[in-house]
Amino acid sequence: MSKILLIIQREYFTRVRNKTFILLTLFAPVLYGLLIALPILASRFIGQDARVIDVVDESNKIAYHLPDNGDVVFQYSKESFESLKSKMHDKEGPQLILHIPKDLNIFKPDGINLLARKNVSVGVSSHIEGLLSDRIRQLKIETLKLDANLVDSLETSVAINIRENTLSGEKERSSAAASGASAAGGILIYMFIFLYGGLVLRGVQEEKQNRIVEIIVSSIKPFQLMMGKILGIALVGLTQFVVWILLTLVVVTAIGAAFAPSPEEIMATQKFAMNGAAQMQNAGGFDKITSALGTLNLPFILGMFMFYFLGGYLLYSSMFAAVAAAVDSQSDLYQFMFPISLPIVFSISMIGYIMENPDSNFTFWLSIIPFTSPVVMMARLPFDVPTSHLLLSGILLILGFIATTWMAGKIYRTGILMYGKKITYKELVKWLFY
Amino acid sequence: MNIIEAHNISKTYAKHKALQDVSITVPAQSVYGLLGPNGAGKTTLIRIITQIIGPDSGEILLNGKPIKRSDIAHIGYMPEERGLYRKMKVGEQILYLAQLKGLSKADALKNIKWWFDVFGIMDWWNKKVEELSKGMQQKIQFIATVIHNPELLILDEPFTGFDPVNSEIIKTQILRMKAEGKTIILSTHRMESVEELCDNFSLINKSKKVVEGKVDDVRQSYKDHSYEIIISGVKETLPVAENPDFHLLEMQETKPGTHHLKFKVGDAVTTNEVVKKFLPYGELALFKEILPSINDIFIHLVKDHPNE
Repeated sequence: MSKILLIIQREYFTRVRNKTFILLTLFAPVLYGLLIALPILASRFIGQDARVIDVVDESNKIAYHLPDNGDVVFQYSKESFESLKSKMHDKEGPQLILHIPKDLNIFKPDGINLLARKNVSVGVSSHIEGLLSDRIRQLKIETLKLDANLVDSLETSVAINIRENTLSGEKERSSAAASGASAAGGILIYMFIFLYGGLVLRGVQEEKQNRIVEIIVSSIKPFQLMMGKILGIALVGLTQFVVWILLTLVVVTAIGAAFAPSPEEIMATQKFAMNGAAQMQNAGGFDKITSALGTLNLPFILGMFMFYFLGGYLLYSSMFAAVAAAVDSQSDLYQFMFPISLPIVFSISMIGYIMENPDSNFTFWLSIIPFTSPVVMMARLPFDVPTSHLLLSGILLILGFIATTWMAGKIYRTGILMYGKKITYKELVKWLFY
Repeated sequence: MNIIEAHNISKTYAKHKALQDVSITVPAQSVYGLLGPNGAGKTTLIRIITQIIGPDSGEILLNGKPIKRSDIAHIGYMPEERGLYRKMKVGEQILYLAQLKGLSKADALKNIKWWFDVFGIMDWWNKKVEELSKGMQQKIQFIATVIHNPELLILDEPFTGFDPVNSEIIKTQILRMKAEGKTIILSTHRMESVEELCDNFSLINKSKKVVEGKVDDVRQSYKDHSYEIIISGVKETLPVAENPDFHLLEMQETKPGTHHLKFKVGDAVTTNEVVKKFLPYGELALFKEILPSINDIFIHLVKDHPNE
């Protein structure tokens, strides 16, 4: 027993002390945070060069009613459209000209052109469209002599509260949050299994190629060596996982604090808000995300993630170890890796279906069979899985990895001592019975 | 006292018979050669002794008792397919392998220091294996095999892949360890190294043991009554006429009156009779019975009787 601990220790520390590993572990959440933060930063600090738009309003209905913001600034020109247009290619000439025709019909507002020296982003054009729509809407209210307050009160926005009536009582649900957690859980477990399963695979290959393996198995049983490696790398995975969760919390909190809108900014946006109702709706959306995350049982999901990660990892990495032990060359390896990885690749391709049909029969079976259950059950989890399903799936997964590690051990102990032989499936089956 | 006794070991892989009813006896405190062509089954037998694989039938006794798992702490094994973790530091690596053999960390460190002193390689401790030359790596490989001071050292093809300098080091160490009372089993397909180093040996061919015994005894038992002599001052014609009891193999007059000859005599003819026969003709400068080399015996047993 103490020898398997030695193996685990070596497998763990050689990886954890590795510089690349440390950098990746520490900076992955930071990189991920940057990935989220960069666009926000960019729009804040790089987007300071506002686009200046020259407005030629021949109709005299729009001018001076378009609000500026940090990105788009309007200036109203007395010049004719044609003379402005001719200056467009001068060094200091206008970049963008918004031309509103003389005969603008507010009930059929076409003929408005935006003339640009270069291409215009969708953001800018839709921003302008929004402002024009708001202004024309106001004009309509005035023309039709409607009560502005009455019209505003017609503005309707319905958000359904999804509440689930379970035996333990009613509770708030958010299907958006559930779908997000479902996809994230499934994809993460898929990535983790391949990431750490891949480490096992390369570790076994390295030992075989270095020819050190026979020296080690003269001191320790091949099965112990294989399990020591698998468990050592599992600990590496868990370490990385825990560090990432902690760092992500820190990073998310930091970003949240840094980018929370200051009171002045809120005032500033409100000043330009033409439609109060829209603003209210936005605020409601923000609240909703926070409360939606609250409807998920995150500690439970994380706990289950650990379980299915370990189970799926043990199941797959033992098969990877067996295959790596059996073959000599990289090309033979792929021949065996493909069928082994097929179930898990299939389960990730089914994620969309599972999110849509978390309770279908097919989903049920996929979440029970050990080869697909880690990914599929994680994707099912946010949609409340009956305890009986979880138990069945969990027990089968445990039995599944016991069976695969047993078989893998048999193949492994014969394979690692075999050099220069092309291995067939028939051969592998024979090794099971040596 | 025998350190290893293998009784009727058989091992079959699928349809391939790797060992058939092989028994060997390795006396303690000696060097034992396991001889045979590639694919004869030597490595399988060694793997069974080192408990890497189990036999289908038969048993291995270590010091008279059935070998058990914990005995691997007393065996040092250098396989034919050998190597080290390339990215691991030399010191750490040997420490790890020594601990796997069951040594405590303190004992392991003490032994490593001793061996590193012997080879004068103290400054390699923090080098990665891949930074070392091939020859240096071979030294480390050998240290890793003997670091736990095993009673029984098993070397599978120790001289293949090693450069002459390291081969010589290994030979020296084999003899040193034998003098310390250790037993060494070495498997090889190079017959001449058996004559040089081994006290006992067995010859394995096509999964069966062909012959076993003391090197000298076996050579004696396979002698074909050949002699080599140099005789000088010869004036008459030497009695070299072919007859049922005399068969001339080679004869040469190296100097006037000095003859160098090799011949074979009948089974019943004794050495004294041979001496008597030539003595009257001149001065015997050399008289030697030619014993067959292990290689000759091997060829005689294996190549001449391919179906056995």
